[in-house]
Parts: sequence; structure tokens; C-alpha cells
Amino acid sequence: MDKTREIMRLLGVEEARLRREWISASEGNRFAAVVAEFTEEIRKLGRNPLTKRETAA
Amino acid sequence: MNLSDIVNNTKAFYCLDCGICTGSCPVSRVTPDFSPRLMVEKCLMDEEENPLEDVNVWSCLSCGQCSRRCPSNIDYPQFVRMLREEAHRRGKGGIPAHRELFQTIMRLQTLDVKQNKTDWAREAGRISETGDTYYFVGCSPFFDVEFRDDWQLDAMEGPRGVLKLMNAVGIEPVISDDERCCGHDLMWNGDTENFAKLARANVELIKSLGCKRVVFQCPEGYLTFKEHYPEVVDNMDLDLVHLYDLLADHVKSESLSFREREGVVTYHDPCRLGRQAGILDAPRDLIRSIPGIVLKEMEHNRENGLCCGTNAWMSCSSCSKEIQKNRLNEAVAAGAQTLVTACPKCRLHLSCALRDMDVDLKIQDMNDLLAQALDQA
Repeated sequence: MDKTREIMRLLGVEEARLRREWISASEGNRFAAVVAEFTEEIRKLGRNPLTKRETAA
Repeated sequence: MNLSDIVNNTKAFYCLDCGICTGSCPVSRVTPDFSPRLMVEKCLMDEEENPLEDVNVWSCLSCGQCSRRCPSNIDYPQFVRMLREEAHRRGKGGIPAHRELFQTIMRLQTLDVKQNKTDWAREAGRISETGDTYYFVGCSPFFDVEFRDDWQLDAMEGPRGVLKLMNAVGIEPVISDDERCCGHDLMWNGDTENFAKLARANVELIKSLGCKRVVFQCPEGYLTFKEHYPEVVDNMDLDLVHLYDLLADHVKSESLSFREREGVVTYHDPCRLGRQAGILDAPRDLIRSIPGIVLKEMEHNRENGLCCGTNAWMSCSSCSKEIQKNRLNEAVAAGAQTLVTACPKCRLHLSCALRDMDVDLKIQDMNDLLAQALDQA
């Protein structure tokens, strides 16, 4: 995990795109909340700089 | 490209079946299943057994010992490279080492990345934004992430040393965050398409910074720029210099000197730098120019130097370990306290084997050794 973060930093990918949470199988609500929150964070960051695609004309 | 094209291109049909290649091969010595001679023969004989399917296509270390001794001058590493290119096109590949981490990084670098990997240089020495001389750092910042904690090995000692040495002879080189891997490993993995992308990105970058001369410490980077970039980049028009040639000139003209150190060291010739680029004397002259350091030669040295056992982050096996242990035992037998190598990967590979050995030997990066002996250090 630390290595991945470090390599993302070197490659210029925002570290906020990587997150690890431990969620028990019984914590359904928490799972949903964490995924929703993380999705919002990523949405704010925009598209991953490494997957820039040419827009179709 | 089919097999007969590969045979024609590399003139492998001149094979005399003498077996010098197999007799010289460090892999064959440990793994008799692997034989350069047999692989050439299979391609020539067009046997049913397809060499492209053979796992041994990926076992060659491309150390070039076979070609140097071949009476027909067949470029066996080039032959293997072409086989790999074709095998890669057909979806085959070797077994990557280190979870394919480095190949992944290299392929990501073919994209429009904005990297941050030059912080170390601002702490270690003086660099410039523009200028004549570009220092091609290579992949050490990524190696550092993989090996720093796991192996307690500081891969950045090499580049830091290089920068100090360059500063000591009055060069403040340009380095860049946007530098890519030289592509050496992808090329030897058969992935020529991505190799070419990296090559073009690097040459474009260096030219856009206004640099005319590129200085290398990494033997793979040096040789790949020199020998293989012209295959995929038009009008390179860059002066490619290896650091040790540059430093050796400064020592000769007495504009660089080292202070007294002590120790008995031996020098491990990286395949790319020694046998393949022919830079054999400069590193030895530099080591000898440090007062108090005794240089001892191993049984296999210079053009006959043994390979460090793995290449291109692929096919690391018990065979690799055997080759590495033999090499380290040669260093011990030579009476050396420290094995010095000029290649960041040789250093990593040999250090990996050293972890399992009970011998009194240290492994040091050549640039670290020289930088520590600098007068002003």
C-alpha cells in the first residue's frame, strides 16, 4: 500500500485516488457510505490523468 | 516476421554447430535444457517443435558472451530479441519478476504522465533548468521504492553519487521529471511498440530542453540509446557519453582527484557496459585513482565477466540465484571486501543473492564509492 502510494506520487497520479478501508461483512451501511464518499472524492478529482482519451470528433 | 526471416536477418544460417555458444552460456552451465546452439538449430531445421513456444526463448540473459566467441559472428542476443518480438506479437511472454511492477511503470510512462521524481537531486547537488548536458538518471527512483524497506538497500546512492561527481568536475546537469525509462526492458521483453514510444518521448524531451550531450551512469540506458534508439528514432543527433569516460578524462588532466580511502575491492563488469559497450578500462582506472584502494580482479573479468543472473525483470529463477552466488564466491575468492558494480541492476541482483549467503562481502555502487572519495566530500 505504501509502495503503491509512493509510485503513484512518482508517476504524478494524485494519492487521494488510493484508499484502503477495512469493513466487516456485517457493516453494509458503512460499506455503502464509504464507497459513496470515495466516489464523490474521485469525481471531484476528475478523470485519471493517465487515461486521457481523445474526444470523438 | 516468420522464423526464416529471423534466421536470414541475423545470419543465423552461418551457424557451424560448434557449440561454443552453449559452452560459454552462463544459463546453460546451470540449466542444461537451455542451449543457444539448439535454439538456432531448431529454427534452421524447421522442426515441428516451434521455438516461439519454447519457454527458453525467455531464458537468455542477452549477456552476449556467446556472440563474442561465435566464430560466425552471429548476434545471438539480437536473434533472441527478434524471436521475442514475434512471440510477444502472438501473445506470449516471459515470467515477469517483482509482480510485473516495473513493466507496468514503463507502460504507464508511454502515456502523458506528469512525474515528480527529481526531488532527490535538489538535496544531493546542483542541477540546472537548461544547459548543454543532460543527465539521464534512469529508473533508480522507482527501484528505491521497491527495495528500500524490503532489502534495506538505498538505490539512490548511485544517482546521488553521479550528481556529486558531475558537480565536482564543474557540470551542473539538466535532469527532468518527465524522463521516461529508456525502454531497455520492454525491448528485451519483446514489446517493441512501447519501447519505441519511450525512446521517442525521451529524445523529444532531451531536445526540447536544449541539451546536446547526454551523460549516463546506467549501462543499460547508455547502450540502449547508443545501439537501439537509432532503430526507432530518426535524427537523434545527441552526443552520448558514459560518465566514466568523462571522469577518466578529468582524472588524466588532473582536474579530478580523490582522497585517501582504504579497502580491497573487486570490479564487476556489467554486460552492457563491459562486453557490449567496451568500457572496461575507464572504471578500473577510476578505482585505481583512489589512493589506498586496492583493486583485485575476479577469475572472470573484463570481456569474460559473468552476468548478474537476470535481465529485463523477467525469468528470475533458481538458475539466476546460482549464477549470482557463483559470482559472489568469485569476489570472495579474489580476496575482496567489497564488490563494486557500475550497474544499478547488477547491484540489486547480486544483493538479492547475498541475502542468502554467509560470506563477508559488501556490494557497493561504483558511483557511491567514487563520490565518497571526493576531495570536498
